[in-house]
Amino acid sequence: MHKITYIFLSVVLTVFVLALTVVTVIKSNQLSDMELKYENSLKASLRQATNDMRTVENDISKLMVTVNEYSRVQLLSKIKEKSASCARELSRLPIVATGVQNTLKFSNQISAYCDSTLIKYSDGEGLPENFDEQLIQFFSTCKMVNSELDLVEADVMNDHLLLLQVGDESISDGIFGSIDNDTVEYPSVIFDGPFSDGQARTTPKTEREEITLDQAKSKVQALGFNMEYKYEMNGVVPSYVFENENSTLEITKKGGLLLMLMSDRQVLEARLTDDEALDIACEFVERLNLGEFKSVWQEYYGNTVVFNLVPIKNNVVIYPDMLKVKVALDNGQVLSFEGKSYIMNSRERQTEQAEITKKEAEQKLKQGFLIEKSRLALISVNEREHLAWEFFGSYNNMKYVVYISAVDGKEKTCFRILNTETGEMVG
Amino acid sequence: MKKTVTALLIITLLFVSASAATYTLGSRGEEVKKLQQALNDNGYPVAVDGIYGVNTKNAVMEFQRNNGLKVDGIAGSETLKKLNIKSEGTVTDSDIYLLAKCVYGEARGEVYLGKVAVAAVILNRVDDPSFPNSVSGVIYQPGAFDAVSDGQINLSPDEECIRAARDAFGGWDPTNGCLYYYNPRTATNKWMLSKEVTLTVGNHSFCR
Repeated sequence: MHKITYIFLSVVLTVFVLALTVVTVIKSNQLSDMELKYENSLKASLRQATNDMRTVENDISKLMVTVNEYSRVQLLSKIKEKSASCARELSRLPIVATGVQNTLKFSNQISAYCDSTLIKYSDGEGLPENFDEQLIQFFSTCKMVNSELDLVEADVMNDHLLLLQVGDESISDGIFGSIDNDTVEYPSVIFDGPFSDGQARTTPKTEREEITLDQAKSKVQALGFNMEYKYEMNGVVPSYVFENENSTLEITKKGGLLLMLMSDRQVLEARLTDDEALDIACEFVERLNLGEFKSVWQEYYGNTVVFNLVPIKNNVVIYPDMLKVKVALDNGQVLSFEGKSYIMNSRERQTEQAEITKKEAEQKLKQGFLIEKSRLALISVNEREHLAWEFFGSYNNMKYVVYISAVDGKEKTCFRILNTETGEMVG
Repeated sequence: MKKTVTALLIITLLFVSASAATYTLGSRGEEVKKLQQALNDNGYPVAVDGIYGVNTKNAVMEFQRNNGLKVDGIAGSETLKKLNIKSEGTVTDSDIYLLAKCVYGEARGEVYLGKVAVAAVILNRVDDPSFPNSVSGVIYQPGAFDAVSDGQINLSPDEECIRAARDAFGGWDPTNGCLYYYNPRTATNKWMLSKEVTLTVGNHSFCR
């Protein structure tokens, strides 16, 4: 190659390399800028969490002394919101998840407890049992958490601690370990509602006899499955697990009920009608000998349909005892079954009578609500069951389902019916 | 002198190739398969074999020509953005899709049961007071999932992962309420390793 060409190429390449070096240096500075922005947003989250927990402590102290109902409702709403916000902000900090669980749980439980109390209050049930004692527990725990949070915040605000570094397990155990594990003692919180430490949520409502493995094997055969026993599984619902090449099935150790069937394949076309698929789902559920079930919702995706089936007893739709069956629309294969709701909730219930007639319940609906159909239903709201009149209808060209208590005529809950790509869904 | 120029050339080429994530002649892999599938879905038939050959390049060029893009046969960010990847069950619910992305990032090599199990762990955490109360809160909790920390969550999930996410949302939980999982071959966290394992599926052990 000519000397001039070499010189020319060398100059061009040198300039190019220099330019790339400059770009890299600039990018490195940008990364530092990004780290700074991230650190600032983490500081904001910590500040917010600390502020929220201080507000919660203060508002709980007011709640301990107020007797005015309006003030109580206001304070409960604010404590509910602030403790949920505290949990949210804490979960944004780069603490290893195991290093902040107790504090998150405490914040979430306060929020859920206030929510549950507000619901009882609006139902006219008054304050929960041991309300005053619970507030004292919450207050003293908040004080401890706030003392520790103050120390962490002081370190952060004085630049003795970079929150960016806290993700490192050894550091977060040291810094937040005192809040989450060492110094603060978190109380057990039991109430009607989610996040309660009570056992009711994790125990099936019907006590059932334990079956042997051989009995479980017989059940699997009787259901028409050719599967091999694999292992026992502990958990919320202990079970025997069976498998074949394509499917997994669980039989509960107590009661020998079908807990779960799962298989999957791509279903490329839909040849069956909805009614044909529903017949298949109902026939499958009949083999379980659980009584009569009816489909209340269906969800379509990937040429499959999931039927949500519930029992109907004395003309009442029992939503908490729901089963789910997924059917492939090409050949009608039952791909999956899910029975946990039924197993957890089903029981002999004392028949509650409707004290409010359908006509009386209709009067409680919003004026202008156009009713399409109605029936009696047992629904679960905040983990408590209610007998209610179920009204499907529309308002302002939007579809809803509204539940009016059949006992006291109060509205229990309502859902909007949304048209999604997978079918009508409640939300 | 000649050696210096050649070395500089090589360094330059390395910088150029490392600076942009695009698919071009010679590219291979799962992402190329997705590109090919997307081309098919958009009416540009091409074999879905994961190899960016001449036919794929020609299909990309035709797509670019018909969509007002620079016609260079290189599937860069503009071309990829223009290609809508359609699937048989388009997921519009953002929580389900986010869940599917996390499953894809964490467990795409696992059997279906393992995918649903990972999705179920995430949803179990949403229901547990010790964790954030939303799907996005749980998934994006700092340090919770490797797929988030290393960016794999930003990959597009396949249909199987979307089905697994839907099933988990529908209540299917092969883990019976587990809140944690780890890879026993690579995990070093002593606290996690001390927990009783509820089940093991493929590369993941699940515990509560």
